[in-house]
Amino acid sequence: MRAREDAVLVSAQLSVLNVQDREDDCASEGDTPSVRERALSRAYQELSQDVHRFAMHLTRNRALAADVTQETFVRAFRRLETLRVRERPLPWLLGIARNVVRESRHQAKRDGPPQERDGHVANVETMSPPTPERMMLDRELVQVVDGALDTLATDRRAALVLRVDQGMSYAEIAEVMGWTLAKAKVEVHRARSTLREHVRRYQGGLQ
Amino acid sequence: MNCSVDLIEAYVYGELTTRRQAEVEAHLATCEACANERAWLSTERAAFEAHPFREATPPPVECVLAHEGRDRRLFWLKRGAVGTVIALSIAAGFGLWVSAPRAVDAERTAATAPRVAVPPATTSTVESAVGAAYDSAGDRCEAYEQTSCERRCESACGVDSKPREVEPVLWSGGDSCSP
Repeated sequence: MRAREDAVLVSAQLSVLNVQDREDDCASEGDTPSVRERALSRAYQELSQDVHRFAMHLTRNRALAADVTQETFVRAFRRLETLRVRERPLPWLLGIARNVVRESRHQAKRDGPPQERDGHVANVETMSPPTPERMMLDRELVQVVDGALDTLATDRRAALVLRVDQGMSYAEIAEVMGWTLAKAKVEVHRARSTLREHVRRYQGGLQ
Repeated sequence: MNCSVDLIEAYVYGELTTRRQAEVEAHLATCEACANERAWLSTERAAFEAHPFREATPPPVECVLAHEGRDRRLFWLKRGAVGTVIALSIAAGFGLWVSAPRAVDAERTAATAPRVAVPPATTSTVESAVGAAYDSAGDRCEAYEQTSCERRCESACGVDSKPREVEPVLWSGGDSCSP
């Protein structure tokens, strides 16, 4: 009975994730682990890229971001029942990711010296070949923006990333970060101001 | 339409209806400040889209599945450990509860049991030992029928009552036993 409820719940959550579950074998008791695994695999395929990018922006460390991504999905599946059926899963997942990052930061503070950051564009460019869009944009400008992001406090950077990179509304940002709508707007505005200041300085240097 | 940064932002992020979009476009054609704002926002978006983190690949799903499985096993192990501790605590509590009334009963029995007179302090060592033996065996002896005081005490306690001349009052309940 419990396994059936679990399977129904997973299916409901998968439908929220717009993942089609065509097989109809998830009702038997013995299949419960495989149902979970399949559900986790599909959700991961759909959303892991966004979660991982967010984790990269927040941690600016590849190894740490990979850990955060894994931990986020594991936690998400442990608390699947807290996801409301009509809720978009991505903000929910990013909220979990943000908490995981905060916890890992506190842990790192307790454990000793901070881990080396490798978030600068120059260091991470070897990760994949450049896309045409990236080649089109001024490479230096990307570096300037990245440098500006690096100077921002983590929460402010997270707010800007959620708005610009993930394209979330201010209401969703407020939900992910646990802020009021007004605070979300203020944080994004301040982050933008810092970003523009850096870009202006860069452009002024060119002239 | 008046200048509105929020509207320009919504326009850049494609959050406006078609009619509103047309209005903003018309405004942008005439307002330099708003056109400037739009340029900033577009540059910002383009910079994020060109950011190398866009192509960062997450760890393979197998890692997450392994992590999840390990976590689940750990979860059940913890539950099992907690369950065992609780069961042991309950068992220990029950044991204490069962043994506690017995101790009280024993005390009560001891209090109500017929007392065997302790030999007086002036008796000899042999006499004291005999008296003590009778004393400790007093309860057992009481169960026997009181036919003959000497015979009874010899058979029940294995103690020869002959040398006893210090008159320990063994059987307070039975007057036929009085020496």
